[in-house]
Amino acid sequence: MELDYTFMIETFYKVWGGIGTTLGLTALSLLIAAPIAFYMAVLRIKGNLIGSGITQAYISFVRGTPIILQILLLYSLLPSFLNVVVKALGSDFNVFDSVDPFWYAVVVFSLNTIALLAEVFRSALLSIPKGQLEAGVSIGLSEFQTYCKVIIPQAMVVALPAVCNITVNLIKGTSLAFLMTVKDVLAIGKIAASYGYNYIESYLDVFIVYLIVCTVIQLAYKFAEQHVGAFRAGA
Amino acid sequence: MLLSIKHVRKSFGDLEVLKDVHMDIEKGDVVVILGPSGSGKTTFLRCLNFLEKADAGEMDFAGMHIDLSHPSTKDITAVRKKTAFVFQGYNLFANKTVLENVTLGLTTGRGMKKADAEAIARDALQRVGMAERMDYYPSKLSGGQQQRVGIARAMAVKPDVILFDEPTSALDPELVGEVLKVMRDLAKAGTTMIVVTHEMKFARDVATHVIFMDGGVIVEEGTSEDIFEHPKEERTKKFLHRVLCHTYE
Amino acid sequence: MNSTRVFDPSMIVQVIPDLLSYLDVTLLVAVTSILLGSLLGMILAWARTGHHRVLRWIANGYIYIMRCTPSIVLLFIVFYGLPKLVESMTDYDINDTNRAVFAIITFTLLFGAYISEVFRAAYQAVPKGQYEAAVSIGLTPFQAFRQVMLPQATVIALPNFGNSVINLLKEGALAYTIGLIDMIGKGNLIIAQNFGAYGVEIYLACMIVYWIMTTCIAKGFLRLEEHLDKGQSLRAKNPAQAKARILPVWKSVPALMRRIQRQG
Repeated sequence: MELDYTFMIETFYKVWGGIGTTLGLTALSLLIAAPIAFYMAVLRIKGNLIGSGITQAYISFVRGTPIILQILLLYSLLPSFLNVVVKALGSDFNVFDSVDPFWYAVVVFSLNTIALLAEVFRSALLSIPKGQLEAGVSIGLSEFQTYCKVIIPQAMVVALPAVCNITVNLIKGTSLAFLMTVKDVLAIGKIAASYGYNYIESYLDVFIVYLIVCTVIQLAYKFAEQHVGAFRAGA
Repeated sequence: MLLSIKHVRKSFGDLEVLKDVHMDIEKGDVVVILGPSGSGKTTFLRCLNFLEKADAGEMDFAGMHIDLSHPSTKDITAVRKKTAFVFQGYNLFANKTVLENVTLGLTTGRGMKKADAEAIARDALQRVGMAERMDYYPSKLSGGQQQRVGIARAMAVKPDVILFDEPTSALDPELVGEVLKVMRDLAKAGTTMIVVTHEMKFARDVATHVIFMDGGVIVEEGTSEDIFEHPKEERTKKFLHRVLCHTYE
Repeated sequence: MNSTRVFDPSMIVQVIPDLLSYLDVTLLVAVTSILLGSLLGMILAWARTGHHRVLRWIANGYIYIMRCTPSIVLLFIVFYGLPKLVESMTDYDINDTNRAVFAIITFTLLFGAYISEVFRAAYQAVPKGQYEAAVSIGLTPFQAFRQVMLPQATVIALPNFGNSVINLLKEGALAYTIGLIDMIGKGNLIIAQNFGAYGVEIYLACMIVYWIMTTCIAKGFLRLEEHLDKGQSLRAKNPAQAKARILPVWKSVPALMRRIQRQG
């Protein structure tokens, strides 16, 4: 099989330019999702029946349906919904022309990540022995203080490998943002591909970019794990 | 001579754990191997069953002459079929009931009919006092009960010799007695046994031959009277003094 | 985009039968990929736990690359690249091959990588003493694997295997992007026939179908785990309870049939 190498190298630089969008989308989604997911995790553990039930249903629905359908659904729902809200407020702001689809993508991936992170946080919190809480209370800390100073820091270390997984999957998942016309790595590759029918070259470029990004992210997490996990035996 | 081992050597990396160890066993012997932890006694026992591969050594057993550094698959299978091993951590098959644990070596390992195997297994379990628990899974048994099943599993295959690797070390003190009793009964019935243990009273009462190992070599060996009443080597005396004082304190 | 039309829940119910008639395509892709992928995963897990250095290196590299590749990118590479590769090597044009084949190849490659990790971890989670005990009473290494290691590893692997199956089913939803008419492909056709209307309803309908499927699969695997778990996990605390689970499904079904016949 002959590949058009000059095209491939040119396209690589173009595709590489999409990294900002891909990483920005990933980082924003994680930052937005983390606090909400944490709150949900606490609700699942300590919340009343209704709060816990609703979060459980939400988590189950998001985890039980393909993300591509979540994208398709929200991308047909969000703009119209936003338009109705804007019109109701009496503004003549044109939603369909002025809102960068990037923001719809942020909403979709945040909603998705919340469900995944909530489960990780929950099991991490549950993995900390009860004795830690008892010990904290016994030396005069409040339960809240013990959570902040003792339990949560330990739980975050436990959660780190799973959060790394979620991040890698999220980076890969954002490649679907092209369905919302976001110009990320894959979208740029796709556009380049359709110019000269050099599909395979473009997609190989995209593949290489993702390989590099994921490797860097995983190394970063490994580094973080070694540093924050210092108190664990054998870590 | 039932089993004869010569010139066994074994290293883990730079650490030489066995330095030219030998042993001869007659039918009906109960050989007890004593020694401080790290003396190489468990490694030696595991080499006999090829659970560990020795770096050098020879074995004469049941008409076979085997080079321990290059055993053929056929030799390994043949030796394993004529020996049995009782583990420190019991190692009962977690996915099999007590009865299945005992029959597996007979049916799958030796192609025996299921009904015949079960008859033998029932008898073996009877002898260790576990016939009542035949349908239990190992996770439902106490440590002492698991080890008794482990011994029944070893007995059932009618081996020429049973190897015991610290069979009571993982047990709670109050459960040690029931396992030792089973082992005494076995010895009384004439079973050939090689036992690595820290149970001095058992060694003294039951052993026909005692081997004291330290630092990968056999320091001293003899009858249990030789070793316990008239030890010659300084290292043996020190070891016995240490463990016996500790035991009877 | 129709911003004035109101959401019509009855449309969800209306469209579901139409969508379900294409569910077989979705399931065919998923099930075939799971079967072939499990085979690939076994080979990879065997290579990774084995002693052959080159094989181990290849397996590790393959798994790492798959972990870093978005499914959709792999799908595009297979869909656009494979025909080109085959054509250049054999002069054979596979461009007109059914698109399901490309989807199955992609998801097999992915599933194999994911599941080999599950298999390897499960095998290594069975204590080594179990193997030693088996060979010490005269079983051959293969018999020890078959009788002792495999049944235990299966139970350990089951929850993660179930998760992987669910993930694959969800990833399978991507297949419509290469033009396969599966459930979502059909949904998009209906939307197109209605000039872009009913998108929300139809996508919601698809999601409900997926949600039901994934929930049932998760429940199914939980039941299967309970059935196969022969007292080795700590979940079954009392013997009576464990005893009730001893009979595997395939043994209890004929017994049930006999009982029914006797009564009739």
